[in-house]
Amino acid sequence: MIESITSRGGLNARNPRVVEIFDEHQGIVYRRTDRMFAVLMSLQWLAGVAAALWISPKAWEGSDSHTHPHVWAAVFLGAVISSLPIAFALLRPGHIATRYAVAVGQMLMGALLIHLTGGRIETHFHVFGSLAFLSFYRDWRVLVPATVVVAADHFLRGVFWPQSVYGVLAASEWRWLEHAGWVIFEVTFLVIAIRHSIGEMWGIAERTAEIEALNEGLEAHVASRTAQIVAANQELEREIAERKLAETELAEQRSFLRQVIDLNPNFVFAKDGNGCFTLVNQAIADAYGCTVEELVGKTEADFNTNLESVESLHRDDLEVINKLEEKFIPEQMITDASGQARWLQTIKRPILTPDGTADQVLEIATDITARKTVESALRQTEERFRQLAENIREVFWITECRDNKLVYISPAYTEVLGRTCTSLDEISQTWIETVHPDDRSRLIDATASIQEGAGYDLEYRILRPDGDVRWVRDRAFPVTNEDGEIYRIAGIVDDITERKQALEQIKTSLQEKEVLLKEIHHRVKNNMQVITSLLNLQSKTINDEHALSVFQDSQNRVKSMALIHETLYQSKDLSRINFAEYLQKLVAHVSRSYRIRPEAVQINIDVDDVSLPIDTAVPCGLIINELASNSLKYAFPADMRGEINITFEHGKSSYVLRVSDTGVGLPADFKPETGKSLGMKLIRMLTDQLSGELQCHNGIGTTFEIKFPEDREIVQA
Amino acid sequence: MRLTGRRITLIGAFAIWVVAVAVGLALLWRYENTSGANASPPPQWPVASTVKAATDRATLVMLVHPRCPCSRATIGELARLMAQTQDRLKAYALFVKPEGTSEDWEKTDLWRSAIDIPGVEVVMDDGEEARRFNAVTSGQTVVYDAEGHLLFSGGITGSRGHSGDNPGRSAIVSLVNGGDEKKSESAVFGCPLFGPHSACKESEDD
Repeated sequence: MIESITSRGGLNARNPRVVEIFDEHQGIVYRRTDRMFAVLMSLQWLAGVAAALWISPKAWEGSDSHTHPHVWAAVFLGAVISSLPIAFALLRPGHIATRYAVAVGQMLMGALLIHLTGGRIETHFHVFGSLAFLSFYRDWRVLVPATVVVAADHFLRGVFWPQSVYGVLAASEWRWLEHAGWVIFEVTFLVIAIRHSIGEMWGIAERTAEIEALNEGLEAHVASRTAQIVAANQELEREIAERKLAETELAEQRSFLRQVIDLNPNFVFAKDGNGCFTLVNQAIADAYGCTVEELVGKTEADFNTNLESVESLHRDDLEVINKLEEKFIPEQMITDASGQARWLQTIKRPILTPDGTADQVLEIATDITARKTVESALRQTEERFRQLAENIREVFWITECRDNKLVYISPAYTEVLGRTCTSLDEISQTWIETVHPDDRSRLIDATASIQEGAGYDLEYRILRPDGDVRWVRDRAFPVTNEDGEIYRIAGIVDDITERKQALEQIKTSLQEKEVLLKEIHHRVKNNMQVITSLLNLQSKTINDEHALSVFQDSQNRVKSMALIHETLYQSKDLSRINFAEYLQKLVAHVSRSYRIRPEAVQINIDVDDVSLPIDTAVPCGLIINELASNSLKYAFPADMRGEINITFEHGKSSYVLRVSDTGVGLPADFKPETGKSLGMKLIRMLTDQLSGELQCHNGIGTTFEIKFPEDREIVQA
Repeated sequence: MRLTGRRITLIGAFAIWVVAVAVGLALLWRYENTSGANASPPPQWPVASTVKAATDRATLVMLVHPRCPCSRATIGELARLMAQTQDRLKAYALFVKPEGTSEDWEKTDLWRSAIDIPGVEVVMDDGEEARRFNAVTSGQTVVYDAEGHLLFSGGITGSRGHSGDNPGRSAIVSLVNGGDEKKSESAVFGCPLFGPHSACKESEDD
């Protein structure tokens, strides 16, 4: 059996893995023993040196001594013998050459130690001990060179120096075989032990291989189970991931639905059979003055103090749950957190469970409080409108543009038109027939124009059934919808017969008064003309130039007023005169009265197109007469040429009268507010009458400027 | 088999190692087998000797260098010799103390070993007795019979410091135990008893 185990030829039949494990184990043994011998031989060398130093440190010649050659032999020869095996053991561990070198070196070292110890028989045990150590390699081949070295040593020394090995000078030539035989004796047992050891190593290798095979099977099984577990884990992870995804999506959907119901201004909520809120949105939470989380789990009774209302709501909920039918509640009232009544329009629907029953009710309540308020206001407005429409004397009517039919007409219709209100359709159809034939076309045209967005205000006659003709004022205006489209026409028909008649009387009276007023102005003008003529006749008897000038001034002043009345009665408007026209006449008269030469003094007039009332025109005319007269008389002495400029500007809310000349100007010490001439007094007085302000600029010529307000209180002179 | 560089190096190292080991062992063996100078002891027991020769048996005189390591084997062989010859041999171990050495310089382990050998008288010699027996190498042993005739001269070890059977001890045993009466000699392995410039010169002067 041992033979079969240790036979290298039999390895072919072995499991390669067994051989591999055996070789690996054997290599470990080789290398481990190599390392052991590396240490052992190093210590052995040191021990040899120590032994030499102890036994024969010195050689003597009388009293002289020197190092004993044994010491040098122990140091150097021991180092040489040990060097190769140690080097091989360190550099080539496990190699067969190393083992052979160790075997040879170890035997040589034994020989050296025997020498160093003086051939002590005890030292020969080193040889046998070394063989035992060499058997640690578990390689019987190593014992061969060791045995050969021992045999060769004894053979050679037996031949050449028998006494050194056998202790006799003439030993038998075969005696070395005796010594070698003892070595072989030990080697034989060592070889047997080595083979047993190798057999055990094979057994270990086979068992290791079997364990490995079992382990591999176990590992394969474990790997298979691990793969199954990994696959199961992956499946589980996938399911977990899907579940997380589903949970995430569900959370997103819940969040989305939460936002949807929270954004819904209606109250969205659900209750269970006990009336507890199970789902609420932000709107109802806000109405109850709490958060969504606070509201869930509570009942109406926690917020609504009206127990009757709470019980009514709960009864409705139970009815929906029990009957499994949807219920619509047009109006119901709750009291919100602020104590205000809130009107709701609610739809209640049962939330069905998988078994077809219901334990909750879903409710969507629309807050119609605003609508109720509007409806109430509308009713009040309608009532007010109705009261207004039914109590006014005017006829209020409304027609639809779509079919041009009357949709409303106030009761005054009967009174104004003298007809009974049978039906709105009849009124619509017969309205035009009630209009005077001469006025129908105007009404039809106006009615057509209103479709284009413009209203009308029309006066026309209507014919009453009793033959009476009445004037009415019909004012209609379009009514547009939110898109700006006209869909109705509303109108008011007012009986203006009496007013019309009164207006005619007023017109007649006014015409009479205008005639009378023109006659008055005419007569005033004539009277002033008489006064002027009288003054003219009187002046002809006066030789004094000054007195004559005074007369002439007075004539011009009267003339200036007469021109106003003349202009008034010749104009259409008896209350105002065209001031430009008047001023042209006035300047022409003044020029003629002072016989000025047009080529010497040029009068320029620049007057805005304004009409002045008589109480403004008279002072202005007198002022211009005074200033123009002064300029004509004093500004241009001898043959001096120049200009007189008269402007009258209409400002934003005032008038500016400016009279200037390019004459010699006034004296340097002249002040308009202190001038004592009649003309200046008259100008100051008239300026005050106009509530104006007088300014005088004396430079190149003279400029008088009077600024007075457009609207002023009339100051009587 | 290809000889790679590494293998060549290996073989070269092995060859060098073998040569070095062979040379070393050869030198060692040569040293071990190189004997000291042989003495020419007087054929008759020197009269001037302070050592008293036995008249009823043979007398052995061994000249020993107290500190010669090689003589440790000689003392060992003397012990075996005394055991083999029993009372038929009177033995003296003369430990030669060189001049100028300190007191008890000679009292070494060799001295104590020699004292322990039954039948051996240990005597300190200042060199005079050594010169009388013309001994120059430690381990020099001479044997005279009861009449004072020289029977043996030489060493009782086979090599330097090497114990074991050797021709010198065998010859003495044979002579003492009534065997061969023919005078014999053997090589002496040991340290010189005297320094190169003292003992030998004085001996030559004698």
